Amino acid sequence: MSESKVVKDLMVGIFEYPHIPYWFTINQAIRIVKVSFINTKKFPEPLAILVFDEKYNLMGTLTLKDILIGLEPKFLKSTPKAQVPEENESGLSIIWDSLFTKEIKQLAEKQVRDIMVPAKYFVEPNDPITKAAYMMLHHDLILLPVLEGKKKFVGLIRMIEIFDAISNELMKE
Amino acid sequence: MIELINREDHQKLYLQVYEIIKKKIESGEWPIGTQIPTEEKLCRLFDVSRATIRNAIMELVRQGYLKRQQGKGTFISKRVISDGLIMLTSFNELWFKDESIFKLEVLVRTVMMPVDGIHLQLGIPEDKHIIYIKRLFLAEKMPSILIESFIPYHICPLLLEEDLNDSSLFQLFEKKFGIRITKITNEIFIGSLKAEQAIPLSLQVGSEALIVSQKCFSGDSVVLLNRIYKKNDNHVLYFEYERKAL
Repeated sequence: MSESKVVKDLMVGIFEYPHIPYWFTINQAIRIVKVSFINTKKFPEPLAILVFDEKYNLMGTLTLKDILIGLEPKFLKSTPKAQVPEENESGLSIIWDSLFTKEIKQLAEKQVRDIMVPAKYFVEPNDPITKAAYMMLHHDLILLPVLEGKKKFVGLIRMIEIFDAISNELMKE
Repeated sequence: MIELINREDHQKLYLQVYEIIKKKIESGEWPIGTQIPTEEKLCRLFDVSRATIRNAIMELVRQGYLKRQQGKGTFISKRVISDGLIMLTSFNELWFKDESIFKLEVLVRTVMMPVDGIHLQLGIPEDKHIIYIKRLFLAEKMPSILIESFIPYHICPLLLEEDLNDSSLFQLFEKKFGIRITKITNEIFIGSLKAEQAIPLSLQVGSEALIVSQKCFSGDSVVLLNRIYKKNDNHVLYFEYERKAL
């Protein structure tokens, strides 16, 4: 791989993604998903929302999966001890109507900070992309924030760009 | 001679054209009753688009400097004595006789997506980022006024890097970023407070407060939307008007 390739060569701008503060509710986040992605038919990979604090520091990310897990009623949540045979899961279809109950409406009023995935790992703009690739693969990250001087949030690394850069090197003659 | 447009200036082009033409009228260089050059000539003169010229002319008509005559053209108009009132209270977000008694705390300064119809108030699409600022004014150490400000991100992205404790948003807009506030509208009403407003003001959720919804325009664009929540305390809002010639 080319030694000169660094994070800033691959990162995308932070305004590619919607921003919300941590005190927004799941309901508000759903509205933002609809407005920013579904209604506009813009589907960036990954589909995510960035969650910030009062001082515009990145706190975490929120995906569609995180939102749906946040809305999951208690009776659907699995426990570590429960060993449900796969065939039993077909019965889940009959509870579709019961999903839209008072409980789910209450869950939708939860703040997004309760369901987001906290941003724990960062890279610097001049870090090698191998470092970014390692962090994304080994910490199972969908997005990796890029901080300048460990403070200013300047960009995001996505798996697609990492994949592209690595595969380009691999396929070079 | 035509003053040149400064393309480095953050101020919108049409506002610069507006200012230049206004100066010409006020100085008498373009006398009352004379016809102004055609849009096409003005475009060439200022090296700007027709839309920019149209916006500048519209603003000059609105301010009474120009008058359109159907089928004839646009003429320099004699500005008349206004029947209306001129607000003498400082052109600012807040109106107090003495602002020095207030201490400011910036509670929030972040970027978010517009919710609850804020995009309609700002006149922007719902998927555009906005800057959100929440400030609390304390008088004698007691919370008195809370201001939530919403600014389209593209209007002033560098605002996030400014020290909001020392300057008002108006000062920053006009002096630092060259965005001239040309009009302010205020809607004043009594409303009940949600948790996010009541808690900083040390009030119960649902308490009533005086609310001012303030839109600040630069030309036709809303550049700042303020929601001002005034607690029922000893401090009063102060307005002063005077009837005088424009």
